Amino acid sequence: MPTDNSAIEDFLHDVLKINSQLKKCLSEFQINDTTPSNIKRVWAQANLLSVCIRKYEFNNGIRRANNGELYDIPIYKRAEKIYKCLDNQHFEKKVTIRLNSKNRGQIHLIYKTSDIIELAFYIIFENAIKYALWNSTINIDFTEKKHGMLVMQCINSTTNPGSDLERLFERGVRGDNSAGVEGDGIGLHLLREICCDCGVGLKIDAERTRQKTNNQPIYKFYVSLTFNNCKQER
Amino acid sequence: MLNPFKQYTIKDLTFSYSRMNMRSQTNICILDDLEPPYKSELISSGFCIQHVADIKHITEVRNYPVVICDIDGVGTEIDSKQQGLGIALQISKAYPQIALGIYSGHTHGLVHRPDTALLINKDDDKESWSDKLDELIARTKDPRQVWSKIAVRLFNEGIPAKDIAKVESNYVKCYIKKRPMDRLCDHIGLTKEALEAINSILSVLTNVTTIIATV
Repeated sequence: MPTDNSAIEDFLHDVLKINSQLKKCLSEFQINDTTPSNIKRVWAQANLLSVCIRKYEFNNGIRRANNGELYDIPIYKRAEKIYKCLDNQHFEKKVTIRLNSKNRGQIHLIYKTSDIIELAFYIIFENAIKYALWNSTINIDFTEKKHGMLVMQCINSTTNPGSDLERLFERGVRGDNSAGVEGDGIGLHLLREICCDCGVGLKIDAERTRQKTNNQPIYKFYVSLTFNNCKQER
Repeated sequence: MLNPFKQYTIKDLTFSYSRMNMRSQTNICILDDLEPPYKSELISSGFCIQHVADIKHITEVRNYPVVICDIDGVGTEIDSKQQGLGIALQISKAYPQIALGIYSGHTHGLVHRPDTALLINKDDDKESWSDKLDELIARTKDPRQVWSKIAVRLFNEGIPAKDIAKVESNYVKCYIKKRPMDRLCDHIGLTKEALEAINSILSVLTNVTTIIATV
C-alpha cells in the first residue's frame, strides 16, 4: 500500500481543490446568491469531500469493504448521487451525461455492499468526463438482469487503449495519447480493487471507430459493472 | 408443504417485509454525548430513536434490539480508554442479539471494533444513515441473519458441522411452520451459556409479525 508523500500530496491537492470550490460557493452566498444551483454546488462539493476522504482511506489500506460494513445500497440512487456531485466538472467540458434506467425512482435494486461502492462510481464517472471528447455525450445504462443489474458506461475518446486492456488496471499504467489529460494512472487500479472487495464484476472493452477528430482516431470505451444477487425494493 | 425427509438449509427461506413497519416496531438506542446526526429527520422517516447521552452499565441498553455508539465522549465510566468502542465490545459479548452500529470520524482505531458492528461514518448523509439503520433493523428481524448469528455461536462452541446442519434444518422447519423454537438445540451437547445466548438471539424473533416466510 502506498503511504509515501505522493499519496498524501495527491489527497491534499484534491481536498484543497474542493475546499476552494466550497469557499467560492460560500462567498457567493455572502453576496446573496442563495439560488438553488449554488446550494446544489455546496451539496456537491461537500459530498465530493467525503468521496475524496474515502479514496484516500481505501488507497492507503485504512478502510476496506469488509463484512461488518455490508448493507443494502440502492444502486441507481448512489450512482445518481455521484453523478450530481460531478455536475460542475462535466459542465465545464460541455459533456452531457445521460443516466438511462427504466425504473428510475420507482423500484430500487438493492445490493449488499459497503459505501466504498460510491467510490467506484466516482472513479468511473470522473474518468469518463476526463477522457471523453469535448461536447460529447456519456451514456450510462442501468439494465436489469435476472436478480442483478448491469451498469454500462460508454464514452468516445481519442485515448488509445493499446492492445492489452488488462494493463490499464495496473497501478500507474495509462492509455497512449493520454499525456494531455491530468491523471496518475491509479483510478482504474483502485476500481478493480474496490470491485474485488465488493463482489462486483468489472469489465472494460474498447473498439476503434471509423471517425476521427483532429486527425486522431476515436475509440469507444465501455466500462461495465455487474451486480449479482440484487433484491428489489419499492 | 414441507418435505419431512429433506434437510433444509437457510437458503430455503425467503424474507420480505415492510420497511416502514420494521422502522416503527424497532427501538433504536443512539449513545452519544451530543445530539445524534439527522435525529429529527430520521424520526420523521419513521425510525424510533432514543437518544441516550451516556450509560453507567451496559444492562441499560439490553432491551434495545439496535444500539448505535459514538466512539468519543461516551462510556467513560465503563471503559475510560476505549470509551464507545469499549461499550460496543462489551455489548457484542454480553448481548449477541443486539445489532450494533458504531460511528466515528476516526478510522484507525476502529480496526478492533466488534466484527459484527456496522460502521457509520461521521460524514454520512441522511440517505446513508437511513440505509444503515434499515440494515441494523434487518439484522434483528431477518431470520436468515438471525440464523447466521446462531450458526457462528454453535461453531464457536465446537459443535460439529453435521449437527449444525441438523439445527439449521430444524430452524427452517420451525420458522416455516411457525412452531416454537425452544427444542431447536436438543441433544447436541451445548453448554448452558451457549444455550442462553442462542435463546436470547432467538427471542428477538418472537415479536416479529411482519415476516412472510415461504419455501
